[in-house]
Amino acid sequence: MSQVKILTDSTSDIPANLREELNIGVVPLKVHIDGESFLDGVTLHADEFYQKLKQAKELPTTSQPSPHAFCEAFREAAKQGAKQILSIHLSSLLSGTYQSAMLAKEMVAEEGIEVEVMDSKSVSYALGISVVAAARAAKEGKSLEECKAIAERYRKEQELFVLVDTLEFLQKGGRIGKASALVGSLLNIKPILSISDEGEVCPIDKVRGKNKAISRFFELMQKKIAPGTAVSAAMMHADYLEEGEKLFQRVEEMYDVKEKVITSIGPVVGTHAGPKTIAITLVPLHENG
Amino acid sequence: MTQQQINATLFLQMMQAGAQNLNRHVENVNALNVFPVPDGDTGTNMNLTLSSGVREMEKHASAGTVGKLAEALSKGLLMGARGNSGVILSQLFRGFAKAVANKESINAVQLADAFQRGVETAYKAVIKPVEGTILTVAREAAEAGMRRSWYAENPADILDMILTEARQSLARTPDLLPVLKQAGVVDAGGQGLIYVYEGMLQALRGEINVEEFTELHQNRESLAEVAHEHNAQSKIDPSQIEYGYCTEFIIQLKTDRRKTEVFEEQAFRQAMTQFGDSLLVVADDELVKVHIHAEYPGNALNYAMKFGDLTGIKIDNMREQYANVTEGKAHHQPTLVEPTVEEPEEKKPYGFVAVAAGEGLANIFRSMGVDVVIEGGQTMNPSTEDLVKAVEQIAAEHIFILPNNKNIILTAEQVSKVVDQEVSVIPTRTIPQGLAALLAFDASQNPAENKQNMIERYQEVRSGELTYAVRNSKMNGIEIQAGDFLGIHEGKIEVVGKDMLDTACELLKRMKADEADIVTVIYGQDVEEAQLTDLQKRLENDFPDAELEWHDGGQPLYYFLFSVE
Repeated sequence: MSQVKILTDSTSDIPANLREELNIGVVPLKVHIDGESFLDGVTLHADEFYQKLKQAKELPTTSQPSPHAFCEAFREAAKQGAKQILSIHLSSLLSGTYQSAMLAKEMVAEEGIEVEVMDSKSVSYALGISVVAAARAAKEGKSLEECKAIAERYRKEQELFVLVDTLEFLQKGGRIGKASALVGSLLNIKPILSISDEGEVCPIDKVRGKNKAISRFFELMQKKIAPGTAVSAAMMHADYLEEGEKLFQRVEEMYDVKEKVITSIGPVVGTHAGPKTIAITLVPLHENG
Repeated sequence: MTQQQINATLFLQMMQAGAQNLNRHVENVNALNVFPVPDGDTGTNMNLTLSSGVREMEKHASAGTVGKLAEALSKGLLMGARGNSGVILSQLFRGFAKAVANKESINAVQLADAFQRGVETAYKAVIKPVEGTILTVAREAAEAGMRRSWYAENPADILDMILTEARQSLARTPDLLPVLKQAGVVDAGGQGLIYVYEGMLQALRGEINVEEFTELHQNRESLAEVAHEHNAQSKIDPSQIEYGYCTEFIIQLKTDRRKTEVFEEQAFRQAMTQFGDSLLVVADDELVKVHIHAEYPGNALNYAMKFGDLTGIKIDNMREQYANVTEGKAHHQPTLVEPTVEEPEEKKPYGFVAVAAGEGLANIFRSMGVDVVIEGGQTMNPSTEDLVKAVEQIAAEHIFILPNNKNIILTAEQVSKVVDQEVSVIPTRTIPQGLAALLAFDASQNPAENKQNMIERYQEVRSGELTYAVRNSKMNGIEIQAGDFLGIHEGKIEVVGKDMLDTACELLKRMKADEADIVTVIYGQDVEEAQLTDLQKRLENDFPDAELEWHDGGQPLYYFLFSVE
């Protein structure tokens, strides 16, 4: 077993097979629907969640893991032989999860467990892709510093493009960030969103109608990353696999996709993004990895 | 009587006579509209512009020098400028005013020179001067005046030469501008200018007597005044009074004491109607005088408080007044209402002013973040002053103006000369362009980047309008009869038809709606429910690949505005 253990939270939306293969620890957030509470991705999976969402009387709410939950996860990792722990989490501007992890880090430090907590300033598989890269490095026996550097590079170099069906969910959940100016328009505006360097939801463009949104989505993508570039690419969808696969096919035609991941947006992120959200993230790959 | 010098009194008389002569012939000028569409009329625009200039002169009548009066004229013209011809007229006299700035009176040579300076200024103000318009008429006339000045005996001699050449130049405009020839008309702005020159010359020659000027002045005042239609009390049956309180107050728009909402006259009027009737609103950039008969005057006052502090509040109980009048008693009890107070406001980085006709369209623009929507567009062109007032109401570092009409762009460009704020005009010529431009706005970018992005973005949309012909005409070889439906694509009449929906569908085909991602239909106030349903079915059938979006614009005269992207 590698010396460095990689931990994240459930908003990283990493598919189960990858999680197991790379031995990534996942601390779940919670989602509350009509009075019932579930552990994100543990007691409630994406498919069931979107079914429940359709019937929910009120919009679900979400909550961060307690510091205690992180302490448990850190102790468990240490017990299994990890010398150091790298815990990578969703943007601290979107959730208090990072805060909980930081508190837990202080608490377990007294027990001699060394934890490094990182704010990914991102979410969903845009976070997940950095976590997976770091976990691969850990598996190869790289040091904590090296794992951290790789996660950092993935975070900095990736480009995320998000299409939401409506801004309603982001607005009601209070995660709308700089896209708030678009709310209330009488025109049917489809924003193309991303996450800013600070880790906040931000619009990168806005167009009218879905067809145009998709054309613009790819125009913007080509502007950011030249077609033909070797990339690690991922598609995230909220109960919208078919449409997402169509878009991803265009990504595969445009780029030299070396690694690909298709994943569902889980209950917690889905609560805030809303059904029919599709996101694509690309990380250019360099020859030296 | 031939004057060697034009003094202040004579100069004022000349301009008054010019304005009066234009006013008398305003319908002739309007009739020269090239396009047979309901549009902002050149004659009306020039008339309103010039009367604003002359009113300003009259306010400074005692100034005593030609220079000071010309300066007042120039200022009044600039504030009142409407439409392209109105703006050009204002620039002609702006140059004129600069030339005579320090003169107590002017002679023949100085007069010729002042007209020449006017032309130079006007050409500079227009980015792409088009020959065959008022500019050509003014230029050729001024050049003739300059040639004449070598041996002119008096100012009347010069002005006579200018007028003669202006008439000839006007007759040549169809040779310079093919659209004029096609429509069989001369340039409307040029014609308007000639009426002004005619009046000026008559006054210069002493052909108008002094009594007439008083009358002219009164006409102008009545044009500017808002008549107060007061219900005669003797005709009211008190049991029939629906709104019982005659309520009058003044809103002071500029208050530092607390945060106020942006005052927008059209929207305010609209909102006030919910409180009662006999509404009268007179506004300038600082004060708004309001008169309304309301049943709950407190509600009206509270609403008005949003826009500023109230003063001069007077509320009369009309039922009681009526009873008192009939019973011969006098009783009067003014009422005071406690205002609600909010916090003062900071300047935001960006503000927007847009011009649009129709409440629906105004709401769409507001929903996109526009601070002030000025009522206007095809049928009514706002003046520079209207735009200035709108800009001054917005507490923002930088203000963008979306004229949304080709005849308002130049007016909008005058605004930055008058206001202290930073202003950029995004030269949108249609409503769809205005909406597209707004989408490209990004608060995190600087004004220059935003301007560039907005201009790029609006050029990606295709704009169409459906209206009707106001008179018989001929365009591009097509016979047009009054009442025909006209499909306009990017400002050009491309489709003429007898059936509204056929014309609409044909227009959309020309606009390549079949290849479009999204087609937006903004329907006007004269479209009926059944027509809308029919059009909806036909568009879904004809353009199955396009997303269709429908909005109630409420615009007058233009049945449909189409945006194809």
